[in-house]
Amino acid sequence: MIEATQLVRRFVVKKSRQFRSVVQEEITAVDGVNLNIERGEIVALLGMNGAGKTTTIKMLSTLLKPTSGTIAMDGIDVVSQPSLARPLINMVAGGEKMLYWRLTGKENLVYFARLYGYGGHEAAQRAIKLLGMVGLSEAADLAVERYSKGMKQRLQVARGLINDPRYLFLDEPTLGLDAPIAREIRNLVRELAREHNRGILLTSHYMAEVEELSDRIYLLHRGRIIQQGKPEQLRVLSGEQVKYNLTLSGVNAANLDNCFRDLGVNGLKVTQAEGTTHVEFNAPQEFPQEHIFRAVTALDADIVDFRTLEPSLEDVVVALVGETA
Amino acid sequence: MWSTILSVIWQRFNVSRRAYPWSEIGGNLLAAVVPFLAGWILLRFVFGGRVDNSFTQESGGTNYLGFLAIGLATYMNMTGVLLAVGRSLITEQREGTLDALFLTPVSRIGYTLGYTFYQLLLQVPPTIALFVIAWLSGAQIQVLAPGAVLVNLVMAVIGFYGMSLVLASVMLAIRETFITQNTLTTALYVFSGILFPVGYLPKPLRFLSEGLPSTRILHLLRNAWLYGLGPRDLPADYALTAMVALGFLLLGIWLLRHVERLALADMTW
Repeated sequence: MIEATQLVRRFVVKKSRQFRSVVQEEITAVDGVNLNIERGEIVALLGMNGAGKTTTIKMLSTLLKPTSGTIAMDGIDVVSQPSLARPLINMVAGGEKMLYWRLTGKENLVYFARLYGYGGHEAAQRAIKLLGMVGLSEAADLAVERYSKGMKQRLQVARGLINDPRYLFLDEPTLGLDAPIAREIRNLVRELAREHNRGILLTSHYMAEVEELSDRIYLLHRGRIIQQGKPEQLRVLSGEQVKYNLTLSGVNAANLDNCFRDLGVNGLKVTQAEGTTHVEFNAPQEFPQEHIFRAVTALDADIVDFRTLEPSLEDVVVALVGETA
Repeated sequence: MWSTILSVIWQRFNVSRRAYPWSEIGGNLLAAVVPFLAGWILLRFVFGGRVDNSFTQESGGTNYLGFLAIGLATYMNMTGVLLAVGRSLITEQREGTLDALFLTPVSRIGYTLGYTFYQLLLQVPPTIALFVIAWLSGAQIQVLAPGAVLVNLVMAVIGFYGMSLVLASVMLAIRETFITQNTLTTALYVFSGILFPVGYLPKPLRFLSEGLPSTRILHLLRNAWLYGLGPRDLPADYALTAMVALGFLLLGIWLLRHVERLALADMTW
């Protein structure tokens, strides 16, 4: 398990003024973050731009030393012994970085494998296996500069797995990718966690992706964790309501209006068309649905259609961040 | 560490053969041969094939073409190492591969030594070509003290490597390659005793020049190669030069560690 405790990272930013001396300003990018990642789970780190996500990932991945705080990884003190932690981790970033464009896909992987200490033959074997895993076997001997964006991203995932890491940090892994390629990457990420028992920390601006993949979410705002939990827990915490949409038949609209108002729902809207009645309202996450069925039974109506629409993770994040701000 | 060195050499070879298959070696060859031919023409047609007494006093002999050939060969290898190692990390940063590199447990020394040895290998054909042309031009380039020359070559690798680490740190710290590399190579060309003995320089410049491993090593290399003078003949010079080379090496390693942290922090923020 990775366990970060009270992580703080401050930067000194130099601001030059015209015709004046340079002014130094201290900025706290990460301020007392506590988080943990178990093997086999996908944990998302969400936040607006500048919330401290990349800084946190860089500290966890040994690229940046925290100003204070501790990071323990399977018994290793990451801050004081980064060289012991590095073989256990890797990182994949979006945006066509972290690859040598003049080298072929296979040469990239062999090179990185050798930097991780694999022998020549073993490095080549690993490269071939991983290229197959990400569907790039046929492009193995093509220079990366000729790869499409999606191919580069898949190669990055292969590079991220070259050292068989226990923990993988994914920083916007599907940034700018077409929907089918992004789906392939998501499937691969899910497989890595579920079938290969890797702990994954994911940051993404695509909320649907986070919602689909993550077991737990940390919400970061101005360097602090403002909420954490499973996606459904965050929905409750956000106070965002579930939207209900019912179609009923054999019911009097006036009676229905009174009956649903008594349930304490919000935004009730009743419309009638072609012998059916459409009812729309919002209710809190914890609202018991049996109350609705009881009300419908009491009205002696039939349910033709019943739909609920959960608030999107985007709504939840915006609500939670807005609340804090 | 050897595995890292060999991996970096292999990577550089593959990148270079795709990016500039012939121009790199061709460019190096021209950069060494053209100044030599210019020196040969000046000596033969402008100065009538003779050097004056001051040159003999400063350099220890009259063999200007041998002096020039060794100077240019040293300069070619030195700038090759300096620029390759110096630009290595900032290039990784600009191309977006620095994070991926630093995520690996690779030794920084092994990585930069990989660049050093790749450059030294790359300079072998132009260096041989330079000496062949020098020999054909009538330069006396017989090696009089091979053992001492070997000692100097080892010191040269250490000294140039140390200088390149310092340069890499400066480039990474100020995020600049063009002015740094061009200013530096021009300054070294003029002030390191490549074309003429540093004794001709004004005193402050001479003092600065002799503080560099390159000037000291070149002086000892010429003495060993052309005049057969080794560590037994010049013990104080050898000891001081070894200390300067090691000093640069330690300074470079120390600087690089600090600058590396700063660069990663800057990239994040």
